[in-house]
Formats: sequence, structure tokens, C-alpha cells
Amino acid sequence: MHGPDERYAVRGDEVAAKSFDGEVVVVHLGTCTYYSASGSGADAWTWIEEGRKLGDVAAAIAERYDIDADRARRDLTPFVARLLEEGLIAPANGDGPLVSSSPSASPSPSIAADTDYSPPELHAYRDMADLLALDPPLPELDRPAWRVAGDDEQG
Amino acid sequence: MRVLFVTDLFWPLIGGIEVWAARVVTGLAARGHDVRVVASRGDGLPEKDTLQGVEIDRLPFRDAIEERRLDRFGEALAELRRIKREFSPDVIHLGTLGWSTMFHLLSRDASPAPWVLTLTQQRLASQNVAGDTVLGRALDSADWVSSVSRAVLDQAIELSPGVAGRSSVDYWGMPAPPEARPVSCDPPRLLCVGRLVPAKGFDLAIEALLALTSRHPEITLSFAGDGPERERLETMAYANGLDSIAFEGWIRPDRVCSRMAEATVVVLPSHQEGLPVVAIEAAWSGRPVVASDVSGMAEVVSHGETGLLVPAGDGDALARAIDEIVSDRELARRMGVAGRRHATERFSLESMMSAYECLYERLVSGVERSSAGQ
Repeated sequence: MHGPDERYAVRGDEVAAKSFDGEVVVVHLGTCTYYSASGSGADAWTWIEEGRKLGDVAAAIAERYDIDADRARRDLTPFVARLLEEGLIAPANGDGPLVSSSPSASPSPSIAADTDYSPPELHAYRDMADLLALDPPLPELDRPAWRVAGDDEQG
Repeated sequence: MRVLFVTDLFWPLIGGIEVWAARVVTGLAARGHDVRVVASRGDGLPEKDTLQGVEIDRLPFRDAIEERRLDRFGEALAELRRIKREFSPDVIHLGTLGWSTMFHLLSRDASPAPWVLTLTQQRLASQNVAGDTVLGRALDSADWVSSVSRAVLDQAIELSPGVAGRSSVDYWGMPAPPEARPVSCDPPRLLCVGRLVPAKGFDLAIEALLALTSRHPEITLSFAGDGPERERLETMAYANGLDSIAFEGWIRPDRVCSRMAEATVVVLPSHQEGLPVVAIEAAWSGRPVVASDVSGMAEVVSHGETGLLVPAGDGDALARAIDEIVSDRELARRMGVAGRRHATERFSLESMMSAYECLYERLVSGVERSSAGQ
């Protein structure tokens, strides 16, 4: 595992992320790749984003999902490696005070409690730009609309 | 049956997919099905709307992806999940491969209903279908892939061989317009219909007109449509002194066939087409078609019978083919009649709706689900 005292920061120049309803969506603005994670993956992202040490993140996952701490650490390692590979996070410089954290820190309020554990996973969707180029709906074109009598009752 | 139709492109915007999607949902509703539409928001259209009693929700798929608006992303995903849970569809039909596909894939936990993906794209062959792509996931997990043409489906199967066992070609159909009067070649009137974009190759039609003017001094060419190529095409026409060319702008989809009935030949010099809706409309209008032989074109235009196909990008061949038809009134009329017959056999609204109904029934009854991806 990456060192338990290591902290990472989201690469804010190239990455945007948002958590909602127990899920996180991340977009790499440079590659137009979208990522999603839910459950423990969304928790891990949120806690990493908050600047917690990896050891604390693993401990928090263990506590939330009531699993063995070693298992949480083992599962977190490939997830963090993937985030690094995808260029979504980078090592944080050690001197910055990020946030105080502890293994028993309360979960972020945006993350819904979920006790069904599965290892954190990152799902990528790499081809949105390619798909849009296949048959673009011409956003640059001021397309006309047509409605005829009886078609609609506009709400 | 409860059908949730999810699409990026939809009425009241003009376009082949938009018009087809509107025909499908209103056709299903007319056959007694409970239909609901989720479409992409934009173009100033209302978030909630109805089309002949069919409820439409427009969600911010486009803003979420094109503008990288993650707040919109969360809103669209949450709304799609809510609609799936509330509506509890028996089947979900994705009308387009695009923004909404990713949202559907991300919200599959909200509905166990089998789902159909309609493929329209004509350049699938170059796409990446790795497991971490929207296309790869969609082709792997769709319970059924419905393609608008054999040419498009062949590309999908080449990319993802598993699609072969759970797919069909379902040609788009349209309501039969009134029988048009016989084709007139005096004077010869050429018509191009569609978005004025480079892929349509409309500059070749102007070149063809230029080549034919000395032989047919009364010949005219009209463009019904609009788009970013219009200025270039207008400049090209005026630079050549061609005052026999008219730019009519968009015409309403429900008036396309009556406009075509005024033409001698409908010209489609496209560089690519999935399923050329304009060629279907020309056939229904009883008008011969001269078109480039690309992708699904030969599935609509029967060479020598309902029109003539020429190599894509070959302006000389296009001019010769047009000349052959406008110089022979009997040939033009025969092709027009054959086109109408071909359309009746292959592109009727009734046959399209029956095909979708039958497909939904098979999916819901489980006949076709066992072979689908997870």
C-alpha cells in the first residue's frame, strides 16, 4: 500500500469532481474521460479529496463497513494506484495543513451510509468525445423546432 | 406495456433521429402502450412537455457533458433514477448513442427492465469498444441492439461479435404520404434536402449542376435545409453565376414529401449515411434518387430500379447519373413508381411499429434476455 501517512490532492487544474447520493463523478477535463465510484469508492475519494492520510482513509472505511482494517488497506491500494495512473490525484506536499482526520472521523454528510461493502472501484467512460463526434447534434446550429396543432400541450 | 424512451435528440427539433423518435413514441401510445420520454435539455425547450399526450422530461445531459457541469450531472442522474423508479418501465429503449447512454448505464440500478439500444451511427468501425468505454459497455450490456441498417449493424458486430446473437435491423418507417403526381422532367428540378454540413457533399450537387447546364438550360437545383455550409455553398453558386440555385432554408418535416413531389430527382451526394431518411422520403414521394453509394444507401436506393448510385465524391458520375434520369422521362417515372412500391414494402410506419412491439414483447417475456450481457 502507499504509505499510511501519505496524503494526496485532487489535480484541480485538470480534474473536477462532485459527490451526490453516495456516488462521486469525476471528470478529467484534459482527456474528457468521466469516472464514477460508489459505495466505498465514493467514500475513499471524498476522504482523499479532503486530504486525509491514506491510513486514516483505510481505517474510516473499515469502521464504516465493519470490515477488517487490513482488508480495507489492501483494497484501497489498487484504487489509489488507479487514481494516480489516471492523473486524477497527485501526492500532496507534506507541509500543508490539510484537514484534521482520525480513523474515527465522522463520514462526510454527502455520503450516504451503506454497510454493504465491496472494494472501492473506479469506473471510467473514456469515449464521450469520440461518440459525440460520430453524429454531432450540431450545437453550433440554431436548429428550428416544429410543432403542429394537436402535437403538444407545452408544460 | 410501459416503455421508457431515452434519447439525446427529440422532437420538436428537426433531424432524422428526432423525427423518427417522435414517430416511435406517438406510434406506441396510439397502440395503447404507456410511454414516457426522457430527452436531453437544450435549445430553449421546456423541461417538461408533452407530445400527443406522451409525457416528456428534458434532463441536462448536454450541459453535464459538453459544459462539464457536474452539478448538472448529479441533477440529470438523480432525475433519471427517479423517473425509472417512478415509472417502473417494462422496457427501456435508448434512441441514441451519446450523452444519455452514459446516464442510462450509470442508473441501471434504478430499473431491472430490459433495454434496447438503437444504433444509427455510420462510422462505428473506428471506435474503441474497450470495457471502459460507453460504447463497449452499451454493446456488451444491451439486451437488444436494433440497427437502422445492415451496414451499421455489421460494423457493430465486427466491434463486438456478441451483438450478432441479440440484434436486428429495424428499418425506420414513416406514414405514407399521398400519392404524388408522375415525375416531370420539364424542366428538370433537382432537390437536396438535409443539414448543410460537409458530410452531405452538397458541393458536388452544385458541380453537377454546372456540368449539366449547357445540356439542360432550364435545370434548377434547390436546397431545403440549413447549416454551417450554407455560406460556402451560396458563394460557390454565385461565383459560378448559377442563378438557377435556390436556398430555401428548413422546411417542416411533415412537408418534406410534398416538397419532394415538386422535384424531378432527389440528389444525395453524402460522404456518409447511417440510414438516409431523405432517400426514404424520396421513395415515398415517388421520386427517383441519385445518391452516393455509401454505408446504408444501397438498402434504400435500389440501383437502376428506384434510382442510381454513384461512387462517393465523384461529381462527374453524379452529373452523368442525373443526366440519365432527367433525359428520359419514362425512366424517371418508372423509378418513381418503383420507389414508392419499395417504400411501401420496407419503410412503412406500421411495419416499424410492429417490429418494435414484437421485440419488446420478446424481451419482456424473457425470450431474448438470456443471451444478453449482465
